[in-house]
Amino acid sequence: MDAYVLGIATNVGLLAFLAVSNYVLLRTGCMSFGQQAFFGIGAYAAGVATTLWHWPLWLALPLAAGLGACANAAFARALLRLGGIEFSLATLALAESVRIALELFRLPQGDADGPAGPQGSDGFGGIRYWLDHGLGPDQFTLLVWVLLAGTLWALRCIERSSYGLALRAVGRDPTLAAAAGIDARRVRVQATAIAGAIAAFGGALYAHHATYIEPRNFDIMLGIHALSYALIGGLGTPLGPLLGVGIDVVLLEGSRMLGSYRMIAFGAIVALLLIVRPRGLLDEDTVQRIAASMPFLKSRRAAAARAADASSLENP
Amino acid sequence: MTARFHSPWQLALLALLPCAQAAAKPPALGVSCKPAASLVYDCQFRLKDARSGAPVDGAVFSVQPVMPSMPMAHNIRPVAAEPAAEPGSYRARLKLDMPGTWNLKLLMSKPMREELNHRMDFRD
Repeated sequence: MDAYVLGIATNVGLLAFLAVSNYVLLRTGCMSFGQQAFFGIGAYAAGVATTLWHWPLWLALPLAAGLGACANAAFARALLRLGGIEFSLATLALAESVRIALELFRLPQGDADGPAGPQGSDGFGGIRYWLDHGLGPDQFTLLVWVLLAGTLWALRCIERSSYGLALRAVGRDPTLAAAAGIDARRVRVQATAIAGAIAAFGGALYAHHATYIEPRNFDIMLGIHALSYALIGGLGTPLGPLLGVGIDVVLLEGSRMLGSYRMIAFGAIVALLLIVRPRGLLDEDTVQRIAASMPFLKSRRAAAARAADASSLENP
Repeated sequence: MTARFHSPWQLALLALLPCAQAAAKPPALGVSCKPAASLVYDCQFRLKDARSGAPVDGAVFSVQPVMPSMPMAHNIRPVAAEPAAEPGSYRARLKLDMPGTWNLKLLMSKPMREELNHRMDFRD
């Protein structure tokens, strides 16, 4: 396959992890501008594990996810007492703090071949696990998409469980959810842990795809894009963020004749879509309509979950 | 490039491989770029053996600029580098999307499979 196409396919898969992370938070009613911090934490953690500690990738990935989950949950415990825009601004400030900390993070380990490991603002190169293990770019792309499919499937299972019902209830009205006996704060902390794990997992894969990372990879621009992907794609299904990434990448690549102005067009598209479709293209109503038009997609359990969802909100 | 897709089980086995293949030391890289037009740069790449310092001839690689501050947003098609007159030197014309700091990623297939990165500032 063409290296350019393969690169785009890999990037769409990697960005989808970050977008899905934002989706999980948006489902609980939290808008974060800081998920790129956990993407970065995962990237650095997994990079250190495979490059300096010589761990296999299959151990480095869960390490990164665990670290991302703990870090995001810890942040959430501190920040969730804030509401709305205050929470969003606090996530942005914390993410910038993480990026600056990465600028200062040095863990150099030299050998006969020269320095290795994070070098602060000079970046972290030589994350060459897939080169050293004979994995081709096509195989790495497939690995990213298999793991993304697994993540989306796991998220779908969570959403169809009673816990998923609690997530939705908290997202729509935390006061109402609390009246129904749901510990809204606890549910949100757990959701942020899930979101942090997904972002860090994607970051770990990104570091091994890029082979070189640096703190500026994880600045506000990445966070804004990832949040926009989730909002554009829609909050009705975990596939929404993936659709959002796909739309953005296709639009950006299809508008190369605009040069650097195409990045400005991205902002306009996001604003326009949010005016027309406040909960994205694949919002809850659209997903239900699609499911209703395709009877083979409907399951008794999903219908029961939707009915319970509706009744919990309409008749607390 | 030829796609060689494998089953998820094969990929899982690959990920479980405990030992890395013996890796040769990557070549040392020097880069200089001159503007040829607006956002178009003629770049020269000098490859040296990292241990002996001898020029590396016969290398096959393409160059892909990526923007560190906008990761995965700029998908610029990789450009194949051509040998230049000097030993161990190669040239490629790069067209960037915007001015700023870019990371030039060298995707090398010969004399070894390698990825080299070089960060540079490009001001229009």
